Amino acid sequence: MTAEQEEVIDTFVKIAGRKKFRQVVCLTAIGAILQADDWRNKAEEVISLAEKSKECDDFAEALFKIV
Amino acid sequence: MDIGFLFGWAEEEGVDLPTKADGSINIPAAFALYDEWKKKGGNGKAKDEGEKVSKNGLPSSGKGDKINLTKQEWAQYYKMLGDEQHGDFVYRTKNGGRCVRLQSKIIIDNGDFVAPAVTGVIEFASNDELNIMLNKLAAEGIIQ
Repeated sequence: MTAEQEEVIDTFVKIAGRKKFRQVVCLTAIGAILQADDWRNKAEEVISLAEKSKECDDFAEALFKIV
Repeated sequence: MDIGFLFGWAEEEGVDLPTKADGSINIPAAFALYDEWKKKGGNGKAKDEGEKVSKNGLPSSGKGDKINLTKQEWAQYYKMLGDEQHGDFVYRTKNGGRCVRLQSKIIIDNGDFVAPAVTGVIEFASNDELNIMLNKLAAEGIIQ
Protein backbone atom coordinates (compact mmCIF):
# COMPACT_ATOMS: atom_id res chain seq x y z
CA MET A 1 0.00 0.00 0.00
CA THR A 2 1.39 3.35 -1.01
CA ALA A 3 1.15 6.63 0.91
CA GLU A 4 -1.21 7.90 -1.77
CA GLN A 5 -3.49 4.91 -1.34
CA GLU A 6 -3.39 5.32 2.43
CA GLU A 7 -4.48 8.91 2.08
CA VAL A 8 -7.62 8.08 0.08
CA ILE A 9 -8.42 5.22 2.42
CA ASP A 10 -8.21 7.62 5.36
CA THR A 11 -10.68 9.86 3.57
CA PHE A 12 -13.06 6.96 3.13
CA VAL A 13 -12.64 5.80 6.74
CA LYS A 14 -13.57 9.25 8.05
CA ILE A 15 -16.79 9.23 6.02
CA ALA A 16 -17.51 5.67 7.15
CA GLY A 17 -17.00 6.64 10.79
CA ARG A 18 -19.29 9.63 10.48
CA LYS A 19 -22.02 7.53 8.84
CA LYS A 20 -21.51 4.56 11.18
CA PHE A 21 -20.86 1.99 8.47
CA ARG A 22 -20.24 -1.58 9.61
CA GLN A 23 -16.67 -2.87 9.80
CA VAL A 24 -17.03 -5.72 7.30
CA VAL A 25 -18.63 -3.39 4.76
CA CYS A 26 -15.78 -0.90 5.20
CA LEU A 27 -13.23 -3.68 4.71
CA THR A 28 -15.02 -4.70 1.52
CA ALA A 29 -14.78 -1.14 0.24
CA ILE A 30 -11.12 -0.74 1.21
CA GLY A 31 -10.19 -4.12 -0.25
CA ALA A 32 -11.98 -3.25 -3.49
CA ILE A 33 -9.92 -0.07 -3.76
CA LEU A 34 -6.61 -1.78 -3.02
CA GLN A 35 -7.08 -4.67 -5.43
CA ALA A 36 -8.49 -2.64 -8.32
CA ASP A 37 -6.36 -2.30 -11.45
CA ASP A 38 -7.23 1.38 -11.53
CA TRP A 39 -7.34 2.03 -7.80
CA ARG A 40 -7.66 5.82 -8.14
CA ASN A 41 -10.82 5.48 -10.19
CA LYS A 42 -12.19 2.83 -7.83
CA ALA A 43 -11.41 4.98 -4.78
CA GLU A 44 -13.21 7.91 -6.35
CA GLU A 45 -16.20 5.70 -7.08
CA VAL A 46 -16.29 4.23 -3.56
CA ILE A 47 -15.88 7.59 -1.82
CA SER A 48 -18.60 9.09 -3.99
CA LEU A 49 -20.96 6.25 -3.06
CA ALA A 50 -20.10 6.65 0.62
CA GLU A 51 -20.85 10.36 0.52
CA LYS A 52 -24.16 9.84 -1.26
CA SER A 53 -25.33 7.02 1.02
CA LYS A 54 -27.50 7.87 3.98
CA GLU A 55 -26.69 4.71 5.91
CA CYS A 56 -24.65 1.54 5.79
CA ASP A 57 -27.29 -0.45 3.95
CA ASP A 58 -27.51 2.05 1.08
CA PHE A 59 -23.75 2.06 0.77
CA ALA A 60 -23.44 -1.73 0.90
CA GLU A 61 -26.10 -2.20 -1.79
CA ALA A 62 -24.30 0.16 -4.13
CA LEU A 63 -20.86 -1.15 -3.24
CA PHE A 64 -21.71 -4.80 -3.98
CA LYS A 65 -22.67 -3.78 -7.52
CA ILE A 66 -19.27 -2.33 -8.31
CA VAL A 67 -16.93 -4.88 -6.72
CA MET B 1 -26.10 -33.75 6.84
CA ASP B 2 -24.04 -30.75 7.84
CA ILE B 3 -22.33 -28.87 5.00
CA GLY B 4 -19.08 -28.82 6.96
CA PHE B 5 -19.18 -32.61 7.09
CA LEU B 6 -19.66 -32.69 3.32
CA PHE B 7 -16.49 -30.65 2.79
CA GLY B 8 -14.62 -32.81 5.26
CA TRP B 9 -15.72 -35.92 3.36
CA ALA B 10 -14.66 -34.44 0.03
CA GLU B 11 -11.26 -33.51 1.43
CA GLU B 12 -10.71 -36.92 3.00
CA GLU B 13 -11.82 -38.86 -0.10
CA GLY B 14 -10.07 -36.60 -2.58
CA VAL B 15 -13.35 -35.76 -4.29
CA ASP B 16 -13.76 -32.59 -6.33
CA LEU B 17 -17.11 -31.11 -5.39
CA PRO B 18 -19.21 -30.03 -8.38
CA THR B 19 -19.43 -26.31 -8.96
CA LYS B 20 -21.75 -23.97 -10.77
CA ALA B 21 -20.77 -21.73 -13.67
CA ASP B 22 -19.79 -18.95 -11.28
CA GLY B 23 -17.42 -21.22 -9.37
CA SER B 24 -19.53 -21.65 -6.25
CA ILE B 25 -20.23 -25.14 -4.95
CA ASN B 26 -23.34 -26.78 -6.38
CA ILE B 27 -24.77 -28.00 -3.07
CA PRO B 28 -27.56 -30.28 -4.40
CA ALA B 29 -25.13 -31.97 -6.83
CA ALA B 30 -22.55 -32.29 -4.05
CA PHE B 31 -25.06 -34.07 -1.82
CA ALA B 32 -26.03 -36.31 -4.76
CA LEU B 33 -22.36 -37.16 -5.19
CA TYR B 34 -22.10 -38.07 -1.53
CA ASP B 35 -25.26 -40.19 -1.70
CA GLU B 36 -23.93 -42.07 -4.71
CA TRP B 37 -20.62 -42.69 -2.96
CA LYS B 38 -22.48 -43.96 0.10
CA LYS B 39 -24.65 -46.31 -2.00
CA LYS B 40 -21.51 -47.84 -3.47
CA GLY B 41 -20.39 -48.77 0.00
CA GLY B 42 -18.47 -45.66 0.80
CA ASN B 43 -15.31 -47.50 1.59
CA GLY B 44 -13.11 -46.78 -1.38
CA LYS B 45 -10.93 -43.79 -1.90
CA ALA B 46 -11.98 -41.93 -5.03
CA LYS B 47 -8.36 -41.39 -5.96
CA ASP B 48 -7.72 -45.13 -5.76
CA GLU B 49 -10.35 -45.78 -8.41
CA GLY B 50 -8.18 -43.99 -10.89
CA GLU B 51 -10.69 -41.32 -11.63
CA LYS B 52 -12.50 -38.55 -9.87
CA VAL B 53 -15.98 -39.26 -8.59
CA SER B 54 -17.18 -36.23 -10.50
CA LYS B 55 -16.82 -38.17 -13.73
CA ASN B 56 -19.64 -40.49 -12.74
CA GLY B 57 -22.31 -38.68 -14.71
CA LEU B 58 -22.47 -35.77 -12.30
CA PRO B 59 -21.38 -32.20 -12.93
CA SER B 60 -17.64 -31.98 -13.25
CA SER B 61 -15.57 -29.80 -11.01
CA GLY B 62 -14.93 -26.54 -12.81
CA LYS B 63 -12.32 -24.32 -11.26
CA GLY B 64 -13.88 -20.90 -11.58
CA ASP B 65 -11.50 -18.27 -12.90
CA LYS B 66 -13.16 -15.59 -10.85
CA ILE B 67 -13.72 -17.33 -7.53
CA ASN B 68 -10.47 -18.55 -6.08
CA LEU B 69 -11.10 -20.19 -2.71
CA THR B 70 -9.63 -23.31 -1.17
CA LYS B 71 -11.87 -26.14 -0.01
CA GLN B 72 -11.23 -25.08 3.56
CA GLU B 73 -12.31 -21.53 2.74
CA TRP B 74 -15.48 -22.78 1.05
CA ALA B 75 -16.17 -24.89 4.14
CA GLN B 76 -15.64 -21.92 6.43
CA TYR B 77 -17.84 -19.75 4.21
CA TYR B 78 -20.75 -22.19 4.27
CA LYS B 79 -20.33 -22.75 8.00
CA MET B 80 -20.55 -19.03 8.64
CA LEU B 81 -23.68 -18.76 6.51
CA GLY B 82 -25.31 -21.47 8.57
CA ASP B 83 -24.35 -19.88 11.85
CA GLU B 84 -25.94 -16.55 12.67
CA GLN B 85 -23.52 -15.83 15.51
CA HIS B 86 -20.96 -14.20 13.22
CA GLY B 87 -22.42 -10.69 13.30
CA ASP B 88 -19.02 -9.00 13.03
CA PHE B 89 -18.04 -11.02 9.98
CA VAL B 90 -21.24 -11.08 7.96
CA TYR B 91 -23.32 -8.19 6.65
CA ARG B 92 -26.59 -8.68 4.80
CA THR B 93 -28.42 -5.83 3.13
CA LYS B 94 -32.20 -5.44 3.19
CA ASN B 95 -32.34 -6.46 -0.47
CA GLY B 96 -30.33 -9.63 0.00
CA GLY B 97 -26.73 -8.74 -0.88
CA ARG B 98 -24.22 -10.11 1.58
CA CYS B 99 -20.53 -9.98 2.40
CA VAL B 100 -18.76 -12.56 4.54
CA ARG B 101 -15.28 -12.09 5.97
CA LEU B 102 -12.94 -15.09 6.06
CA GLN B 103 -9.70 -13.91 7.66
CA SER B 104 -8.10 -11.71 4.98
CA LYS B 105 -10.71 -12.46 2.28
CA ILE B 106 -14.21 -11.10 1.86
CA ILE B 107 -16.78 -13.04 -0.12
CA ILE B 108 -19.64 -11.17 -1.75
CA ASP B 109 -22.75 -13.14 -2.68
CA ASN B 110 -26.42 -12.76 -3.52
CA GLY B 111 -27.54 -13.50 0.04
CA ASP B 112 -29.25 -16.80 -0.72
CA PHE B 113 -28.94 -19.32 2.13
CA VAL B 114 -29.73 -22.49 0.18
CA ALA B 115 -27.65 -21.93 -2.95
CA PRO B 116 -25.62 -18.75 -2.55
CA ALA B 117 -24.07 -17.37 -5.73
CA VAL B 118 -20.72 -15.78 -5.08
CA THR B 119 -20.29 -12.66 -7.16
CA GLY B 120 -16.86 -11.55 -6.01
CA VAL B 121 -13.93 -12.08 -3.71
CA ILE B 122 -11.92 -9.27 -2.16
CA GLU B 123 -8.52 -10.20 -0.83
CA PHE B 124 -6.08 -8.19 1.24
CA ALA B 125 -2.42 -8.60 0.37
CA SER B 126 -1.57 -9.82 3.87
CA ASN B 127 -2.89 -10.08 7.40
CA ASP B 128 -0.67 -7.11 8.27
CA GLU B 129 -2.44 -4.97 5.70
CA LEU B 130 -5.80 -6.12 7.05
CA ASN B 131 -4.74 -5.29 10.61
CA ILE B 132 -3.66 -1.80 9.56
CA MET B 133 -7.14 -1.26 8.11
CA LEU B 134 -8.83 -2.65 11.22
CA ASN B 135 -6.81 -0.21 13.35
CA LYS B 136 -7.80 2.70 11.11
CA LEU B 137 -11.46 1.72 11.39
CA ALA B 138 -11.19 1.27 15.15
CA ALA B 139 -9.68 4.76 15.45
CA GLU B 140 -12.89 6.09 13.87
CA GLY B 141 -15.02 4.06 16.26
CA ILE B 142 -15.85 1.33 13.72
CA ILE B 143 -15.31 -1.81 15.73
CA GLN B 144 -17.96 -4.12 14.32
